[in-house]
Amino acid sequence: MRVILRFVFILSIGPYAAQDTIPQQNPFSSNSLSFKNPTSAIHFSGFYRFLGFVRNQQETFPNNSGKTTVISSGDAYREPMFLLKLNGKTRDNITFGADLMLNSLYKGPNPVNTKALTLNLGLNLTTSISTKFGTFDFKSGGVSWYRQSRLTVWGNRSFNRISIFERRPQTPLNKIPINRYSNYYNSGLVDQGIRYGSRAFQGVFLQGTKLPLNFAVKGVIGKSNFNRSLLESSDNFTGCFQLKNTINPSFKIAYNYLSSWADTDSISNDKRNYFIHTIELDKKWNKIQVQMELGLGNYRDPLRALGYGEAILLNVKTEKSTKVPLNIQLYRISPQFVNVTGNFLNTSVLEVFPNVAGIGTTVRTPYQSPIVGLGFPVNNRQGASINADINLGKLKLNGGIGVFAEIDTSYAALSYIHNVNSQTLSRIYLFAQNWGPYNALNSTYRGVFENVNITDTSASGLADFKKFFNTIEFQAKFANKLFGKNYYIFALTRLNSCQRELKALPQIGNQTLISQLSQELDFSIELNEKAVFVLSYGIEKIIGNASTDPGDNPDATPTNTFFERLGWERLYRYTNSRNQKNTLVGFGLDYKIGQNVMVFFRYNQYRYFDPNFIENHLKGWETMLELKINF
Amino acid sequence: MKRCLTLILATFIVFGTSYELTAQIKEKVWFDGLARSYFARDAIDQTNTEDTVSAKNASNGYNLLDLNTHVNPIKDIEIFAQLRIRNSFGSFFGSGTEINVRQLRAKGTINDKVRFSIGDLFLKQSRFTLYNYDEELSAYEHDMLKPYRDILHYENFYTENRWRLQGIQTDFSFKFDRFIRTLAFDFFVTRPRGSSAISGNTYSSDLLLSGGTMVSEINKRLTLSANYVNLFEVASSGTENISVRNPVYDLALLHHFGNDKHHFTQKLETGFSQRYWQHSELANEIPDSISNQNEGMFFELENKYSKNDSTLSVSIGYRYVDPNFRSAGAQTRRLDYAAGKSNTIYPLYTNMSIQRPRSVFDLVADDKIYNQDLSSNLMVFNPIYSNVLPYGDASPNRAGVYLKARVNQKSKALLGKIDAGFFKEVIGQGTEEKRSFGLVKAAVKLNMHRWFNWSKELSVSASSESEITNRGGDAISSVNLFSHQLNAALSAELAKRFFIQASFKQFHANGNEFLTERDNYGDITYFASTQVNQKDHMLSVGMLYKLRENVYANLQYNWWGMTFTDQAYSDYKYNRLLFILSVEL
Repeated sequence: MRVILRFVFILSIGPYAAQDTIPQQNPFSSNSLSFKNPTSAIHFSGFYRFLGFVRNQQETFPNNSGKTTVISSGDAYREPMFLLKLNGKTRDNITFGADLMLNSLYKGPNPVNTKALTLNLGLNLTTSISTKFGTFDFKSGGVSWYRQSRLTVWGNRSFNRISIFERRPQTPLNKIPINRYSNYYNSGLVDQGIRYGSRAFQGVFLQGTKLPLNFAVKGVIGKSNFNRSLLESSDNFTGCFQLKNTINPSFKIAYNYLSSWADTDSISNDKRNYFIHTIELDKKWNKIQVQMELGLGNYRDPLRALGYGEAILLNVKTEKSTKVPLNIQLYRISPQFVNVTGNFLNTSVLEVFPNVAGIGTTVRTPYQSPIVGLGFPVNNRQGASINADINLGKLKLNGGIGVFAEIDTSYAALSYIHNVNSQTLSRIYLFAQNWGPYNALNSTYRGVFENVNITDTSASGLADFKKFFNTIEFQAKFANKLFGKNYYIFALTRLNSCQRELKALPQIGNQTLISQLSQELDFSIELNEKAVFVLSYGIEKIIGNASTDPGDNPDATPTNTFFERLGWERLYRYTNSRNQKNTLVGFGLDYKIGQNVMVFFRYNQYRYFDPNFIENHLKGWETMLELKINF
Repeated sequence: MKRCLTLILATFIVFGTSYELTAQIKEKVWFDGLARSYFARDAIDQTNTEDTVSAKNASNGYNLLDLNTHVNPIKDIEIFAQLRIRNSFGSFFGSGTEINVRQLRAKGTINDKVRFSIGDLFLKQSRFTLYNYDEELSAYEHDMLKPYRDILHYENFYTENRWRLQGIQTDFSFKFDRFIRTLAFDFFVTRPRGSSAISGNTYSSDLLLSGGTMVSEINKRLTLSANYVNLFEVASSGTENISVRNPVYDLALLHHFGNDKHHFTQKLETGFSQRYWQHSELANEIPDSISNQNEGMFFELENKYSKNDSTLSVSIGYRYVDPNFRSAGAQTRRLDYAAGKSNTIYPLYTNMSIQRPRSVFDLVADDKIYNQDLSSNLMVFNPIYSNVLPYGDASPNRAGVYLKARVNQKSKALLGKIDAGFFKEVIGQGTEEKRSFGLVKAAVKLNMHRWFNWSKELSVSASSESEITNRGGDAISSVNLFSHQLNAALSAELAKRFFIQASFKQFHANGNEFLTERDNYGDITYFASTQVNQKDHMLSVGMLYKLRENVYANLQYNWWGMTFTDQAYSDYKYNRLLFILSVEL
């Protein structure tokens, strides 16, 4: 017992005895001594998102390898399965952040299938300095999302007229599943999140607010993923800034500048560069707001100097509270006004799109006279559109009509973005250019556009006429209850056309180069608080005339088999050109497992078919199971 | 009663421990680290007309975050992992991203008595056994180039003249109340280089570095220390039957005394080294043998006087280092001039695409040309930039006196320092004649704002570093090399923490020398004669926003280049725009 007591006693005095044996000053150590000095705070947030995907193709393109079924996990568009956002703040009030991304193919334990930990976007360092002259925010790094003005830096933002059957990784989890549909029903014409209105930039960002005389300034010098040199180390930069003055709360004026330059040759001084000056005015009267941006741009590269070109965007809109809110848009953007980071499509200079590996080699928007929806300005084009929405009890209607014309003749080609099956087609061949049996398809991020050649050309190879575009978009939203459960119906009709002459309305006849008509129907019903059942149907018809590519089927086909069967000859015609029909039928289930945990199931059958282009025939089904956990 | 007492004691121990653990649980994981944004754009100066094939400009940049994760699972134990997240400037959406572990270590204290560390270690002993000497031409530099140096040191793990090594280390100490005051011990075993495949079936051996230190404070005035370090290969861990051994022994006696105004220190340090290659496990039962054996000693006596108010300190000493003194831990250089390591910035120039000679700008700005690996042989050095003490105080074949002085005004309006040394070779190299060396470095800094009591900082600084090498004898073997570096700088605080800065650096070397070539065993094989007449320049202007010592944003522009007189090289000039945002977390 005494032995035990001694042993216990010795053990217990151990730590105190150490005070006697170690001198006050640090004894010698060959190693460096470290001291605890933690940074203020680091927080983690993010999500886990599993996406199980199965596609079975019953009809394939002729060059298909024979593999008709795809079973995969993870989002093919380089979206994180596991996103860990790290945010920290130092004692100097400098914040730092990184978004770590971890994916797993779930294709077996072979090390080949191991995916490295990487970054979703990039690293950022941010600080804010308050002085008596104002507050200055300084940010370095990237990718950061930056927005300045519609003609200089602005992401694609249009009217929120889409089918919401498909989900995106960024789509937030709602408190209960039905809120996704009720929000869409209630929100009307709203822009989407900040990321979708902004452009990706890397570099140094500076923002000054609360400056004297109500001035504010912001700018960035760095790189966007456009206008890049072939050699990454060569000079290729984009810089811009905005100087804004708030004269009074209802009147703002701003000057914007953007310059982008890229060396085209590492050993010469040849550059591809463009710059833009714009003035922005934003004036608000009682229930009317006028926004205008006037710009002057200049483009030059070693082969051509386009000189100066003008641009104007005018937007007049009434308050949402008015009985019939209106939004009138007018724009004119000359072909010399080149920019790829603004809120308009560049159609006059192909070279400003990136073609450098690792930057987004294939991220290329349609540039050959694109047929686009409302809210998508295009350079070398002018036009006007009017949008309105009206509520009739539980029925909410919104729509718009637009007329646009080319300023100058352009490529002997057209392009149009598929409204139906666009995501499905883009998943078949991600970010590919000129693919498909006729090399007409181009995949972008969750979309596909298709190029159409025009046979009437001038000696220079361009179209020998100016193109005119018409668009109508109409959306109806209806909500009610069925057996005490909420349900929503969304119907979206879009009609686009391109022809040689100015018309007030979209055209379908044989004088029309391309007509695109699509109808999408979404139905969602609340099964209980945790579950929502969804249905979707879409059909799209694209018809070309004799001035566009002829198909390889020697026999002309009717543009509408239904009317042909009925014998209503005025409502259909025979054509050898494009006669595409896209259909989609799908259903799904949204289910809430718990707070911040939801599971989504989607199944859809698709068909992409053109009787004149015999090899343009795809048919199959897709199934997706998504589990998303936010933390 | 005994049982009762036992129970009480046991309860006390158990609950006492529990309280301790509870307190630690609160902060089991904590973070610090470093974040940096870096961008550099280099361009050929427009006056360079002899190079039309190199890229006119080249830029690169990155953002990085070194997140130091400290985990304290229990009291006195820490697991440390440094995670590096880096993405290249200009690469979008995940491309150009690197995430890796930069350091991993566990450390702790056993029973509050014995410290230990396992993993990435930063070790230092005496200046003759294990010491990572500063790179040349860096001691008297102005703060304007500090952002460059910060990156260079951080990326190469140069901290407090320590070598980054991987292994295990422990230390402990005792305090006595009679005979001696303290006795401290320190031991480590590290592996500077692991075994790796050389070709199909041949593997290099593991290279280990082990060492130990004993330090004893005999009384208030006298301290005795002994160091031992040994760099050796484990022959059996590879397929080569030859392995190096390089033990070094060091003994130092430090005596100091003073009063409330003055302080005097005398230090006597001596030691010796051995280096040889051991041949073992030979075929046909040939017994083990050794070859290329060297033995050498060193000796240093230093006297230092300093005022306790830090306004003056003067050191005078004598040092002798034997020609055959070899200490891998102390003689390994940061700058590696070995063939094959080219400059990162414009490595080639002229229309012939020849290798661009290294300039002072490269020494300042290029962290890739520096070395982190211990070398068992004397590394190649460039006599232009460092000929007097190319291996620091442990440079072999040197005997001479040195002087170090520091002068500070109490108001810190004037700061000055001088380093001087006069050395001679112990034996001649390739001839009976011995080289003699002279070294004079001086720096002065005028803090004008302190002089005039300005609240904003305004300072001017200048420094001069000269080295001269002479060797008599006939026309073939004689040596006469002179090099001089001039630094001048201006720093003005325009707004709170916001400075504009300008600095000029010029380096001039003229004369002749012999470059020493050595074989794999460090034996000299050839002396290559070289003639030098060159001028390097680096002019910088920029601005600095400094939140605190290691948190700043710096933007600067550099004009730099080299001119040669009667040399085979062409002159060159380049420009650089540099942006660095460095944040110590």
